[in-house]
Amino acid sequence: MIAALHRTPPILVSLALAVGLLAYWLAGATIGMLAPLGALFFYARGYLLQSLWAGLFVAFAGAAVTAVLYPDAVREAALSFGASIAVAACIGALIVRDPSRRGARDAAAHRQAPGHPGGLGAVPDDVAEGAIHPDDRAAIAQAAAYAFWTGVPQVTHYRLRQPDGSYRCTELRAEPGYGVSVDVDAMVSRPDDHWTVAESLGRTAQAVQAAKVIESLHGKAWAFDAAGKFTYVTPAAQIAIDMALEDLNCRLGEREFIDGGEVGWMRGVHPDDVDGAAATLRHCLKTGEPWNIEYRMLRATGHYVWHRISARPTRDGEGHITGWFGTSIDIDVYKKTEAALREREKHLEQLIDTVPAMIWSMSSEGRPIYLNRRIMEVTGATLDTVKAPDGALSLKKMIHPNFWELAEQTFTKSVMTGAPYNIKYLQHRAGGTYRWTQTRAEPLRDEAGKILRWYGVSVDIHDLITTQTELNLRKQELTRLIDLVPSFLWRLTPTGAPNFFNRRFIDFLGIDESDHEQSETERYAAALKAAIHPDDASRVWAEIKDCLSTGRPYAMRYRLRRHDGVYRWMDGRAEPLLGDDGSIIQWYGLSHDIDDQLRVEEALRESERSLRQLVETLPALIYCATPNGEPIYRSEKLREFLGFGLTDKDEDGQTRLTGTLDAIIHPDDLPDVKEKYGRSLATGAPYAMKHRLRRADGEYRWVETRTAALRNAEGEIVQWNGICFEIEDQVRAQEALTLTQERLARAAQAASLAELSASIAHEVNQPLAAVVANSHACQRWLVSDPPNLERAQKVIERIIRDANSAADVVGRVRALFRQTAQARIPYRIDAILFEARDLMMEEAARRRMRIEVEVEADLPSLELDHIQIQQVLVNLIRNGLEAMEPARRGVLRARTLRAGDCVRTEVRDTGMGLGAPDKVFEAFFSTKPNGMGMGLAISRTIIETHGGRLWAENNQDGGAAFIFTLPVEAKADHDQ
Amino acid sequence: MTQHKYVVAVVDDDPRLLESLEELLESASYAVRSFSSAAALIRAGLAGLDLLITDVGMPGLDGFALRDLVNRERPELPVFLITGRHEIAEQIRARAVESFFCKPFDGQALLAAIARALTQQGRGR
Repeated sequence: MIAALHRTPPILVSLALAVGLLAYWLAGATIGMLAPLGALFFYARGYLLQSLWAGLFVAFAGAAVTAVLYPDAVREAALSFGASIAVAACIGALIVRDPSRRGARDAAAHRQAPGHPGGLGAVPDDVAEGAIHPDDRAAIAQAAAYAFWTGVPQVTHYRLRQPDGSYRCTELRAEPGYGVSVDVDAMVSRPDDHWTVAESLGRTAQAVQAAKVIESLHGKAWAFDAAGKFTYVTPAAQIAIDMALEDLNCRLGEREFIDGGEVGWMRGVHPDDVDGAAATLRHCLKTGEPWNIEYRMLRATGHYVWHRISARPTRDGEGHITGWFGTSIDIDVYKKTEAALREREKHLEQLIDTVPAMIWSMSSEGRPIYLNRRIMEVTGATLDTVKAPDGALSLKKMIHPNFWELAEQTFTKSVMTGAPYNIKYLQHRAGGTYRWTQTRAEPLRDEAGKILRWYGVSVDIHDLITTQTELNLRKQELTRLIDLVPSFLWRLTPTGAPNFFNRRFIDFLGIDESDHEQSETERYAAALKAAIHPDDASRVWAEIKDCLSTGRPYAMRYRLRRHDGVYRWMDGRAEPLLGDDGSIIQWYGLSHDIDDQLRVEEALRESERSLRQLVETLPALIYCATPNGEPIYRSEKLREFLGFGLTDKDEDGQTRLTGTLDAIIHPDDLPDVKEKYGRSLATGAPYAMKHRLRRADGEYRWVETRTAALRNAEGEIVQWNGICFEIEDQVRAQEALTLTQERLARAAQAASLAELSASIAHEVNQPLAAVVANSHACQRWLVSDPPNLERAQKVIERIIRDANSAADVVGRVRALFRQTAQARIPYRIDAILFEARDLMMEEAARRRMRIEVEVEADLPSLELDHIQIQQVLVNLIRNGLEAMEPARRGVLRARTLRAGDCVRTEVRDTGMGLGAPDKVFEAFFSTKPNGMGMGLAISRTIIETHGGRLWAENNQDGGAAFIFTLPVEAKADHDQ
Repeated sequence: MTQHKYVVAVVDDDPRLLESLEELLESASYAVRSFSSAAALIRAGLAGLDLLITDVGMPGLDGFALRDLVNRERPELPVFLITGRHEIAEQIRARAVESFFCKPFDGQALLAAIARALTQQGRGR
């Protein structure tokens, strides 16, 4: 309501006055007048406001004088009145709007006001023309008119009268909605400049009249006489160029203007234009032709401004020129705009030519109109080459023949239908090559939708195409790679949903891809869930969950079920792909089938474990060392033996090897060990050494250490492997053995002597015992009564016989050992064999046995005792014959042959064989009922004294064999 | 006793010794049966024998084995061992065995020992 009241000031004022009077009448106080006074102040403007202020002042002054001059009640009333007036003045001062602030607001509003095509409409609506300073009205009108006629925005300053009657400078911008705007020079710089009128118009009265008509139309107009002397110039024009009539007409040289002289106005023309302007004007003055010219005119502001000048002559009744009138129109804006437009067009052209695109246009019928510079440079085409003779488009020289048909069809279709044109083809290049190019064109249509022009752009996409092709190839290759790589590749979303499995993985799991009910992810997830081995599942899912939440890489081994139901061990790994902000974009994973590998590894581990167990349980001390001898491994038994580990002897200043050797080798053996081990390390030769090794309890034990180099394929030493046997017991046993052997040797010597003597004693005892018994018998026969002489005689013969037999034994024993002291002489053993056979022939015959002798040819002679060897042979032959006795027949085969360094002699019988071939050489076995009975023991002794060997064995086909060898180079026997 | 001749068997693989023992025993009025081996004696049988003299070292069954065999067959039959091996004789003699003689043996001592053995046996009968 208040707003409504604001719009109707008289009602508001009347209302306020009524309230005030009512208050005054009721209260009897002047304060009631404040309301109507406030209302007055609110709406009073200009003279009314001034009158109000003046009234208040007079009233206040009157009240003051009354208060001074009159006492008591009158004074009081006057004081109260004066105070009310003072308060009213204060209210008025507060209420009255600041005129300067209002002006600023209006100016801003004017600046924002959009221009109207109506020209004058550019002037604010609420500013009546009357509010514009009279001096500025012409300029404003002109600017508005320019804006209207030229479509060029005009910016003009003018003075606007304020409500208080003062003028404020205001700027007007008249914009006809045109894109270009230029600065304009103020037409009037000094509004107060004087302007003059010729004292006498002379004959130009008519022209002046015409000029004034123009002036009244807010133009700059003028008139001059037939000689070109100005008689009238509109005041605005005079002010604008700061020249009065006198200045314009002022002759500057000897001659009149018409005669080619210079006059004042010419100073106001731009030097470049002045001659043309003067010459044409003289011509027109002489001919009466209308003067139309554009030149730059010097403004009072000091700037040259383009003007279009038009002048027409006025003629009298006879057709004589009475004068000229003309007008000059400021076309500066037009000129500058034109230049700006031209500049802009040039700029656009440059833009189009320099933009890295091939631009062209064609008419609605498809005839080429324009090719930008770039398309011509790049393709080598010109407007002519892309035109057929009839002016239609021809792409024959522009694109690759393969695309002619396609391009033709596409082009025709677009032109016919107006559909955008889009095609990719190989376009010709200036260098003669073809490159992939994408050409697009769209039609420009008028408001009715009719096609005006086609605008097109061709873009070289060769690199793009080739890159795309390359990319496609690489993508194919990559896909192939991913599918063919003998491993399972997969991808998970950040939440762990599988969104990619490679071909092999899909095939491995046997995922049915024809199932379109589920999404790929669901299918993969289900397949994976089903495939993980139940024993591994909880572990795997927990790990995946943890990795997904922490983002740490995933690595696990687990079993996956293959499509055929077989579980295979997998080595799964995944790492997250991180975005720039560190968030996980995808998980990329790989599962590798390590089942075979695991089995091999398991077998290897088993093998290694077994080998290690072997090494650790072998009853030997085992160690390994680097190629330079540094210990790197000791078996459990060795560590136990030494009582320390591999690194316990590492000390500063010496190698582990030196430290170890010093600690464990007996000081007496240390130099030898170091020297030999060092030599092995240097040469690679195997090392073998017996030495004493310090046991954990400090005792030194004899060991035998053997070390050999382990070499690689190139023959380089990889490491040394060593074994160390404890040979303490062996050494002790060896010592004991040596002792025993020495004792044994002595015992054997003694035994064979005892055996020999026992044999001899036996041989002698037999006949002796017979002799003794017979002697007693003889004695008894002689002492019997009567003496039995016959028997005594018989017994005595036997006594003689047996005593001789005993003597023979002694003789033979003597013969047996007779030669031992003599030098042995070379003798052929085959000869001895034949002798022995001859000796035994009779006995064999008696036993109905044969003796066959076989002798190898060219046997060497041997250094030997002929008689002794003969005895041995006789003994062996007799033994053989006796062995065959139970059968009472058979063949005894004796042969002698060369056997390496020896001559070997064999005597084979066909008897029962021997129960214990070695026992036959013991003493009791040598006892025989008949013959020499010297015994095999003696035979063996004889052979051994010759450096040979005698032994017995059983023949494969039955019977026994007695074999002895004699060295070809006779060794000294141990008796000597 | 005068009427009855004691029968003594002699076993030895040396015929010379068999002859001499036969001569000695016959000179002492014993009936003698000679065998060249233990096997020959066993084949002939032990019946009728009053005493056995055997050599120790013989091929086949030796003297000790023969004695053990005879002891099982006829435990009361005295068996005299003779040997040429002094080391064996010494071992046995150390055990004070009377019925053991070493070659060459004393004929009178042998006859005396035989007589004693036969007397004891006779008493034991």
